[in-house]
Amino acid sequence: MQFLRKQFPVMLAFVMGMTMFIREFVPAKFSERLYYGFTNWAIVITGFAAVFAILSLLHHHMNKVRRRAQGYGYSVITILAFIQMIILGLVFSVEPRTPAGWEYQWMFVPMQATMFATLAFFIASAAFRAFRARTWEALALLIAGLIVMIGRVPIGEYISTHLGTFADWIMNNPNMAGFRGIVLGVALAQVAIAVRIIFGIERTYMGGGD
Amino acid sequence: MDKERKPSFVERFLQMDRRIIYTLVALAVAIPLLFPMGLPIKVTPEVRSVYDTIENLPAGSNILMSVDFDPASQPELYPMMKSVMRHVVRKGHKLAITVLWPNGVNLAAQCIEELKLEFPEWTNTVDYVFLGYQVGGAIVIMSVGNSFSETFPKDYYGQSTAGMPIIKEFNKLGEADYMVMFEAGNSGDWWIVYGTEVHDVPVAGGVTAVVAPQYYPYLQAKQLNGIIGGLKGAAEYEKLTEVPALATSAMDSQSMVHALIFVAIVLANIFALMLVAEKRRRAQEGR
Repeated sequence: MQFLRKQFPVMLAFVMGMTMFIREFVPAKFSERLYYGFTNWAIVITGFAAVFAILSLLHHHMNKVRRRAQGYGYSVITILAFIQMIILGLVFSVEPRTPAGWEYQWMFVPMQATMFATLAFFIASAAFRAFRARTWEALALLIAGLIVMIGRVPIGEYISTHLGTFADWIMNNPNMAGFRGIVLGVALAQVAIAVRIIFGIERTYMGGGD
Repeated sequence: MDKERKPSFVERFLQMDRRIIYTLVALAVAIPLLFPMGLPIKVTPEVRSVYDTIENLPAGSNILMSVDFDPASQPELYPMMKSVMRHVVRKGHKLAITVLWPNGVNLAAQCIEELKLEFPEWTNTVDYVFLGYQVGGAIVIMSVGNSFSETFPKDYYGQSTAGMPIIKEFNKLGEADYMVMFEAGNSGDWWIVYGTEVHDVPVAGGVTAVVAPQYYPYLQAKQLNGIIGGLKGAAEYEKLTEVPALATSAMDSQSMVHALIFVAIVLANIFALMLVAEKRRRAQEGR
């Protein structure tokens, strides 16, 4: 049992990781078949993971209802909405102009869009209160932010065509350089994590505790 | 002594009730919608590049679109998706549509329905295939490098994809002449890393304004052929296609809100400096 829980997953990760790594350097038909075979497996496994995620969500909310935890009413709504959506989807499909499609279009879409739209109000208020040039670095950020904000909408072009040009320059140069650094850093970290998982150094993916 | 002092105008301004700001934002959105100003929309090279590529491809070219957003980003990405899709249909290209975000499926379906009203001759399984959603994210991208019909055995409408006329000519990512992905998150990175770079397919990104900055390194490295950024990008595309719609009508509102926030931040900083000077002066007077 200990072997299945501890050693076997590490062995499996090592064999699969090395196989996929070596495969990259083998330009043969069987190598391609292996790659696409594994990606098909991965899709099936991810499908199962999605089912587990759904069960976990239901389990969490059912527990809340059972314990009458604070705000359990929201959990009741979540469970009911979940069940009715599944039933409607299975019975009538989820295409537009079906009950599930209507719920999506006339309830889910407006609600989610509203949630996001309210951010504009909070951002305006927060920017007014918090966006202060307290240091030289903050001042540089503030000036760049203001130029991009006004230069990339039509009113900026209306005030001066230079505003738009300068905003584009900020996006294409300092912004691009900064993000390139972030992207390279993330990519290197991903390689490091992959190597650690393949060689069994990183084991947090197996979950903690006994 | 200091507690009895009435707050100065500067102090009162900096402690402005947030409801006043909310009201100003609401007015800045609503008034230009009711009374459009028709501010000029300048087309940026990033957007023109996408338009020119679709425009210059020979009719019947294979185009792949990935709808990777949900209703939270609908106001920005839906108008650009519709505008680009309309352009593709108008040019007579073949179109395959995939979805990596489960909540984006119906948005794509709705867009197709609306375009079918404009172009009744646009035929499912012949001119386009809506492959729908498949779970897996990056793995789906790897898998479509092999075959659409194996990755998506059935399309969104439940029909088998294997025998479709369009799939006979356009069954994998490598057979696409161009790709446009609509992104509200990181799935665009996956498309570039695991898909378009591997199979040498030119790709453009239609992205929200928030994530647009992170796609600029790809543009400069020519791993992206164009970027349609936010609602402004959508309005630019509508201008190029000469079909002004949702994005164009929203441009004045967006301009006004940006101008309002610009003025608010500038005034807040000026007043904050004045407050510091005022406090120093008071401290000197009290000494």
